[in-house]
Amino acid sequence: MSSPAERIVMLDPTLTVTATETISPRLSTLSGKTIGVIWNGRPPGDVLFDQMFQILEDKYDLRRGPFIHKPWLGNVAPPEAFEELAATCDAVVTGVGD
Amino acid sequence: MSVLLTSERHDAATYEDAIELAYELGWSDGLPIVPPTERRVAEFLEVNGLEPDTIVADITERNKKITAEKAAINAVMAGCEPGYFPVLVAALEAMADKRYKFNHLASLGSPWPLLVVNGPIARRIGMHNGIYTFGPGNRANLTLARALSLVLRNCAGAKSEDVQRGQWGNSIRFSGCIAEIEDAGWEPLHVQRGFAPDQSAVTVASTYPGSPAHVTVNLNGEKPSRMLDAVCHAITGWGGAQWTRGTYALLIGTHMVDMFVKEGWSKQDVRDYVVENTKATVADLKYRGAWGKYRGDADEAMLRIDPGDDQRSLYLFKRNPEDEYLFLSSATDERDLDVMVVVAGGDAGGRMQITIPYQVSTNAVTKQINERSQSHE
Repeated sequence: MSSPAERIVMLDPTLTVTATETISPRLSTLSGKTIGVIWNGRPPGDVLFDQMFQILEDKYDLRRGPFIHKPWLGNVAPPEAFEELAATCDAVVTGVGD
Repeated sequence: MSVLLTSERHDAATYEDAIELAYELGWSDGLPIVPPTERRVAEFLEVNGLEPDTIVADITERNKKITAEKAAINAVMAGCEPGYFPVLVAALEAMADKRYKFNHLASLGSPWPLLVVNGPIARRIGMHNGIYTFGPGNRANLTLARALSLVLRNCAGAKSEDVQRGQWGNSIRFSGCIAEIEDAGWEPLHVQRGFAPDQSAVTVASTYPGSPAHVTVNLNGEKPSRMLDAVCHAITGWGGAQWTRGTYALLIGTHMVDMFVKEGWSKQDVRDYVVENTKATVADLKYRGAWGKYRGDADEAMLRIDPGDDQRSLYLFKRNPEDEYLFLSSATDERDLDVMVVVAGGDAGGRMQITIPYQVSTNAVTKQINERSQSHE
């Protein structure tokens, strides 16, 4: 009990954010922007997304971009979907149903 | 091997302070952790011949690459011994496999994998598979389950403050790791799944909270199929308004295995019987609201039980002409509809156990456990 205490140095167990995970610049406004969607297919996500657009369209002059319905909800969307969204959209919303 | 550990350092004045600091930093699952010191983490990597920066799991869905160093830190925190570590590494590899479909762990249903360990390593590290199987009581079983939970908590967002927004959570994060009894006269699970008896392997199979769940069977001199009829009924009855399809595990004790073996039943025979006989009538599926769930035209008329509905059955592990009335059908090329039979449990008692697979998108995956001592032999 009388021996001098040794400091305990612990290694951090968490995964630090890597360079590939940096957050994209935020849009300053939605007006004039094209907004895409990735829906995982769970009902009624399609209804929810439509209502989201109706609310946003009342406030902003935005355009609806591609509406991607993932072919299988348990999988990452196919590369073509990301390419299409990247080529045509200023921002993308992803979400689920239920 | 020189071990260069690159993780950020956090220091505390005393051992007790270190445990408290781990809580403050959000590293803990609620229980105290073993402070992950550089010496202990380096020992885990050196004993197992792993470089710290080796990627043990590349989880595309989370854009996370889990290194051997991070896995070892979390294994130390969980209370593992160095000899357990290859099991954790193989389990992470299995969960990063595309067929496992990691993304499903974020489900509101709170699925989490049960780990079944086979082969020599299970005996070497003292894993448990007998009486009071799920414990608590065995260090290897419980600390391995906890290590998997911690590494995914700390490296892949598997916590409610992050992407795991499940409704109920899942207590098998603390206890869902067992070994199989391999000398009961049946082929071990890993051999059934393509590995040699002297290889070690781990199988991960996701299951909903509340399972493994009891199925009480009749042991009073009944023929073996009568025991399995109770299992078929329990499986088909699970899930309320959702008919749950996927890969189930069926855990059977050695005294029951003896009854099957005496009648000439192999493990595969048991599996086949459950696959062939688990069914529900259309009337039952309508009554519980599983019929037509999520169909846009599902209404009272569809759920009305018509004459003949109690005579027509759908099979849970097969394709049926009327699968379109079931949620997502699930019987697609993306899913295995299967039963894995695992020998485990005490050698007395009238219950088997079943795991309940996540409904939508996962498959059981088995990976070889690579031990340094074996790779150099």
